[in-house]
Amino acid sequence: MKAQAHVSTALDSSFFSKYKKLIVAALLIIFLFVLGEIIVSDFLSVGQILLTIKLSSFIALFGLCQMIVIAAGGSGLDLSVGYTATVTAVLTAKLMDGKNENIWIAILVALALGFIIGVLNGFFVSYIKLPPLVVTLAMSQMIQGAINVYTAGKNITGKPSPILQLIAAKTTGFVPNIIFLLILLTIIVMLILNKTRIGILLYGVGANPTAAHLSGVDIKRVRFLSYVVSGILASFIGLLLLGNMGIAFKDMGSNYVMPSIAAAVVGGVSLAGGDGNYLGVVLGAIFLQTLTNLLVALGWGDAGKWTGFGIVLFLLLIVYVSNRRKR
Amino acid sequence: MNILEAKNIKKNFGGVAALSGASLTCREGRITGLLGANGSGKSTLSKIIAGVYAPDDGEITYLGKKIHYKNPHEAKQQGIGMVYQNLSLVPELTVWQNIVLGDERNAGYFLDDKNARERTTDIVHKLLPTLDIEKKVFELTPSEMQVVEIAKAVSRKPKLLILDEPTAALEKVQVTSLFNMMKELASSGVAIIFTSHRLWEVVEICHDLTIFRNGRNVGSMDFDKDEKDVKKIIFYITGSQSETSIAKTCAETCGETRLSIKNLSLGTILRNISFDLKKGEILGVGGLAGQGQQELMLALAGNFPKIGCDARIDGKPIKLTKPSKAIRNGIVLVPGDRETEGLFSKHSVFSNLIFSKIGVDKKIFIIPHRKLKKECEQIVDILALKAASLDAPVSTLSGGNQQKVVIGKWLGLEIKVLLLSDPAKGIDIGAKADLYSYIVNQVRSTGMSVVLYASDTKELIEYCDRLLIMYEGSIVATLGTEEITEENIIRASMHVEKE
Repeated sequence: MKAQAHVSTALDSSFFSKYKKLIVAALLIIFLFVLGEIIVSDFLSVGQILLTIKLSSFIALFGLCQMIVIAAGGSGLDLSVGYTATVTAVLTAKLMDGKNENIWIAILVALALGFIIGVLNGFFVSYIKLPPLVVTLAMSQMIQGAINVYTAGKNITGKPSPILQLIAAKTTGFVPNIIFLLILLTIIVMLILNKTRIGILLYGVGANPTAAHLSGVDIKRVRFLSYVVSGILASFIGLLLLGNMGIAFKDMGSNYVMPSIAAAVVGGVSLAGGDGNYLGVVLGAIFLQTLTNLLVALGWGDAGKWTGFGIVLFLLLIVYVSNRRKR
Repeated sequence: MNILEAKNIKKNFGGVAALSGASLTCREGRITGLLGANGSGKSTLSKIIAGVYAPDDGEITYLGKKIHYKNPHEAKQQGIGMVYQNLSLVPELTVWQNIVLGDERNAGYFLDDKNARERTTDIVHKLLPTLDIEKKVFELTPSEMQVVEIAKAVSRKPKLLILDEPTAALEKVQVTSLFNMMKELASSGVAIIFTSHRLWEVVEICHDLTIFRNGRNVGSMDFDKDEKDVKKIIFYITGSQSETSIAKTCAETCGETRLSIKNLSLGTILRNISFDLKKGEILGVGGLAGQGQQELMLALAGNFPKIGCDARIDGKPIKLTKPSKAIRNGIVLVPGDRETEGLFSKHSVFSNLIFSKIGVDKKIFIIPHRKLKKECEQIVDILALKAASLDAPVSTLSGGNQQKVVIGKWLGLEIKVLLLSDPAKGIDIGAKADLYSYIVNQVRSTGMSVVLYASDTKELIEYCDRLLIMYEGSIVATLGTEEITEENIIRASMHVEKE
């Protein structure tokens, strides 16, 4: 009897320690909603919650890019995701011209753009060994430059295919369609990272590159591919962003870069690499959006939003780092 | 006079008792040996005394006063110095800058570098006269770094000096100078706590012994009165008096050549190395520390893309330019530093055990969890690996069990040649015996071949069928089964006979 009790408590504690960061993120969201309901009326309602999740979905999507490159280790980070999305949206808007039959060209262009940007990022980071922060920052500037040249002196014309608008902007009943997409994506990502060789390699390379190398894994290739995947994902997010907004404009994606990194941190992704749970990142994104809503409702506006993000990041990093020190 | 008296110290780490009533007395001018298997609590007690951890219970009296240090800095200021197992040097600073770090003195407004260099030279040269104190620490060999670490602690003129496994990284000559310095310090009144896995060292240098098992005192000896009885000490440490000596039977079982290496070269680190490894043979690699042994092991595991080498396995030519190439040909490495080279400490035992298998097998896409769980349970059984569960993070295991995980991660693959780079470093006597008996059994029953590098010569003598002696990156001697004796090894290692 005694032994059994001991085993079950051991299980419980390992369950909690495994999902501790998820639970923390979920509790924070609940706390914010309750706080919002107390301060501002009508904050806690089904409609408001669904709207919050919808608004947070793009942060969560970009957060996936960040999680993949961060998990691969080597101080991974991808600042170029927002710009990749913008350039894709700007270029494909005209190609699609509001017609469904043109979606395939748009997809091919998105794939090619994301691939090229990802390959360049990955090549410089992994094979030339330049710091990811600098490489992806430089890439961002170059893409922004290209966008500026392309859009100089003329309006960006074109509209997304209706099917993109259906996915990104419309609702089924009262549930925004993009939430279904996010749920589907979360399930697929969790399956790939937990049940396939890809996940094992990604987390292994991030946790201890030397050990992974000596175990016969090509760590440069894994890191290179993490940027390629990030680039392609970012490019497809650009299509969705276009679908959501209905038009393309110059800085439609860049505002998501910092929140996407913040979402990864709030979601418990260790910046040292080697771990990361996408459900956590999604919760992190929802938390940040809820915080934004609350600050907006309080009339603090944009300044309040960014200050709030900063404070939250500081506090969570303090908690996570002190946790690690205790061990 | 008692310098330090620790009584009935208790310490728990998250429900696990590391110390459950341990006591230790250190007297002026005496060297006290602290012995025990890994996880017996000797490191924990040392760290409590040095102010790294606070005890849960018990009292410590130092120089007649009860102490409760909040951090190592306070302890250091009161004259308690500790040399840690994991080095704490700054790689970018020079030897002398490291030694005076945190203890700089001024001449006028500026630092007195001249005085600092003098202070450093005095101490360093007692330990290692050839060491250039202007060198940066990252340029040093591991044994030289260890010397600097010791010099740093000694330079603060401690009244109590704690040396936690200081000799693990040292060469024999350096161990002798360290012992001389310890004797000198002791005769000037310093009390010293000394721990080492090499029993003969402890017996040689210590005045008295305290032995721990499972966080408790199980025995003590005072060599003024007691005889230096090694068997009795081992009995205290392990709790059982067993002699595990495995007879060498290679002569009969060794078959045809398994691995043939010709003209292996790597810059100036490895020069023109050639040897044959037979089926079912344990080939030792010995010599002084840092003569290219560890690099040879890494080279055989495919770690150096620029290697020049003509290698054949079972007669088939192979390239050793990538780890994956070596692994696919059945050559696997258990690296020297398990934490930085062998393990994913944060990840579970299960993830660690399956990583290599998944890593090299490109055909796997979806992980067959159930099948692998079963395989891992078998591996855990075979190696007598003690872990709370397969899902427990590797960082929660003891050193010996962590090392078993590093070996275990290869057992899912077909091993032809097992490269062992100092596999018993920092693990206790019981786990060491387990490990070697498993390896020897495998070799004798399956015809697996082993290349073994060990920093402890005793391990080489006991387990090797043949022994290569390395000196400055070349093989300078090969000893056959009958010739492997301590005397022969030392003579060959010093490379006295020049050709």
